[in-house]
Amino acid sequence: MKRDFIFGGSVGILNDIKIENMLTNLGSLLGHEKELKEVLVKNPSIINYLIIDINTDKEDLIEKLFEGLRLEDGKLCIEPSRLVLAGKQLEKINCESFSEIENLELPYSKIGNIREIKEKFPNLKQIILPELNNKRATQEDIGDNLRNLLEYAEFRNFVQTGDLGDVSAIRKFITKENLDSKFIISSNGKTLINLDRIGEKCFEEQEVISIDLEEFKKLDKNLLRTSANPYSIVINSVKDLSLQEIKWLKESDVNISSIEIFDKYNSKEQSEPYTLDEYIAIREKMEEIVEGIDLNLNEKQRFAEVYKRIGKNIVYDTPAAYPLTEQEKTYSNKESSNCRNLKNGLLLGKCVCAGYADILRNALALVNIESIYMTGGVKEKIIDKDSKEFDKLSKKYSYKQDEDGKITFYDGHAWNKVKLDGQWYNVDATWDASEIRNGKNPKNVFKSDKGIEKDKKFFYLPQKIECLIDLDSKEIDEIFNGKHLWIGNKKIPNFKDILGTVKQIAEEYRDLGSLIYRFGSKAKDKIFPRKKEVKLLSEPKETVNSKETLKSWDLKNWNVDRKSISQKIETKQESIAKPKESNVRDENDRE
Amino acid sequence: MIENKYLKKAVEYKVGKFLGESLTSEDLLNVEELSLSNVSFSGEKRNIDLLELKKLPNIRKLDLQYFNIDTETISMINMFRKLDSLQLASCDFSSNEVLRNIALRSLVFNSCRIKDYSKIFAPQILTVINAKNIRLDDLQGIENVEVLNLQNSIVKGMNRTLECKKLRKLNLDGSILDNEEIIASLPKEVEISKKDKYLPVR
Repeated sequence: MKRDFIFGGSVGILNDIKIENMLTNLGSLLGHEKELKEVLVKNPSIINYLIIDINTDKEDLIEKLFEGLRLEDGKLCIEPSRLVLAGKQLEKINCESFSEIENLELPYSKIGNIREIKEKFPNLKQIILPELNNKRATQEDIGDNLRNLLEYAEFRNFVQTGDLGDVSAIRKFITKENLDSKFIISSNGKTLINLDRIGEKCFEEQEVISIDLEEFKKLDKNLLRTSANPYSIVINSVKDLSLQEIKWLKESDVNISSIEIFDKYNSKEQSEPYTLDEYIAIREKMEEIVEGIDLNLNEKQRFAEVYKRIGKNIVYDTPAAYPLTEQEKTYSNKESSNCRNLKNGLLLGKCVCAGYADILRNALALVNIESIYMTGGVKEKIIDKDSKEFDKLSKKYSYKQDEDGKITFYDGHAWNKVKLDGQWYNVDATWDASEIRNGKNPKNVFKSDKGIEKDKKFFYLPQKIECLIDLDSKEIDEIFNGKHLWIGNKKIPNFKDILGTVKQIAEEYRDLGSLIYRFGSKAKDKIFPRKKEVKLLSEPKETVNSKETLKSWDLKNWNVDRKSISQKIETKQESIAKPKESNVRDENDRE
Repeated sequence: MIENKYLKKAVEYKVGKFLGESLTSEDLLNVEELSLSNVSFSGEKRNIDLLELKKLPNIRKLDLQYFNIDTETISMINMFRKLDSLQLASCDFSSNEVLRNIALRSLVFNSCRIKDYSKIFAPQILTVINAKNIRLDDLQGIENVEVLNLQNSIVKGMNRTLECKKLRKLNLDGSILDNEEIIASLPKEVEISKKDKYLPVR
């Protein structure tokens, strides 16, 4: 909560200064009550709230203060809704005027027994729990105190929890069992809302009530319209709130100030709220990224298309990450969040690693692919504890001490884990943007947790979702070249694959055919054995004198007319050389 | 006002007019930063005429993607009196006129096709990423360079870095050099980075 406050300042200053809130120490206020009363009566709008910090246990001083602030009719010179009591001593003291107090500001540790507080402040409507000033609340603090507040179901619209550092700790202690049915808590843990009193005015009108979209949709719109405080709608990704819905919300008369995209894995930058107009512009760009992607395609194909489009069209914003000039440093500070969430990457076409990761997560949600935003580091150098390089490196990099006592210097980095066809993989859109822009296939996709260790990457937090599989470069190329569709982890063959397979099968069949032929022949021989050849003897079965046999075959002994035979042969030869004329045309005669 | 609808929308975003409200002359004068892509996320070409940027005379920071940067465009860019930073990504740089704007302090070429390096006058900060053939020999004004980033590229003419008397930082991550030994000859004050790969983080 923002305040402008004056500690120990003179009341006389109020005449010349327009301030929004005023916090004043009781000690400095004492003796000036009449002056303060005069200013407040003459110019009631000069301050919005008077916050009185009680640091004394002297009850008479407090009584004196309230007496000084009363008008002739006994009423306080400031409306009870604009008066806030704060301070550690409040639990110890009592004062009759406490019955008029509607607003208390108490640290977590002082909530204690809410019933006692209720008895002391019977008209209490609101308890404000401020930030803990660099001290992270323990889970016990949050759990017990909030549980106590939930018992006090009457008291107000909502309680602002402030920045507690670990939002998930709050939700752990607000369970269905201890949550009153009329209270809801936003997913980012910022706001606890009493649904019965949602329309009532809150302590600070500028304070925004965070509420999840689903809960928001259930609320009575008439109540919402009367609420004096603006609302911030909390969603998990851009998929939850379409362009049409956001335009309708904008046109409705409910006071909606912003959209927050909150995911438990997000860093703070991703949770920065967007104005409605910014969200509309962002959502339009998201539609461009996924335009024309067929949702019937396999998950790996859809992922590849989204990944390529982001890599091709979003440039790494070097000045934001590594500012060199004073102007760049100013730019870097100013755009620190915007280059790490959806805004700059989509609207300006440039961002750093966190922006790539956030855009990828949200774009994949639109094509029904689950992914998470990961944060970690990339190791630069490891040195010994006493190394002289420590001073130089510590100015440039973050560092951590390892278990073995060595110091690892690293740069913070963000990437994604993506679930495709039942498997989780690490993917790094930042590192692949250059490759994709140059028309090459990415190399930092589909990696296991062990695989990214080779890139010197490590996770900030222990991993509940493990990536166990690495795809090789050939498989990655196939996915990004669009050559294959995949079902689960199996590829669907394309035309070339099928042709290749047919050829292979044909060869196998040919081999098989020849095998069958050979087998068949042998089988046939077995089935139908050949009859044994009977050697026919031209001569009677008597021993024949071979010499005489040969002699008998000699033509000389046959009285053959050799001349007639040779003539017949010559005639035959001539007839072969000169064929008879034929009516059938030769091929050569064709025109 | 502005004719091209994509340029118009980019200007509208910049001045906070998200709902398509009319732009005024004052709006155009107030535009100091602009990012423009000639291709949509889905790959559709937009055919934006860059010469319309003349209507934004006070531009300080200009980011362009997927444009042909020709002579006419360079002439226009050279005329922007307040242009401090120019980033070109996936552009074809082919100009007969030298890109030389006195106000320019930072020039970035990312995945660009640069036909002739002699048409570039290097400002104080020069960044070239993903270039197939950086010819430092041809580059004009290299002696004024204070920060030289030549990442994920093939670099020729490394000898010329010795002429950079004002050089403070030299980043050669992921690049292949024609002369690696030059690095050792550079003054010790120069902060040099020469990693095997160009891997941006943060």
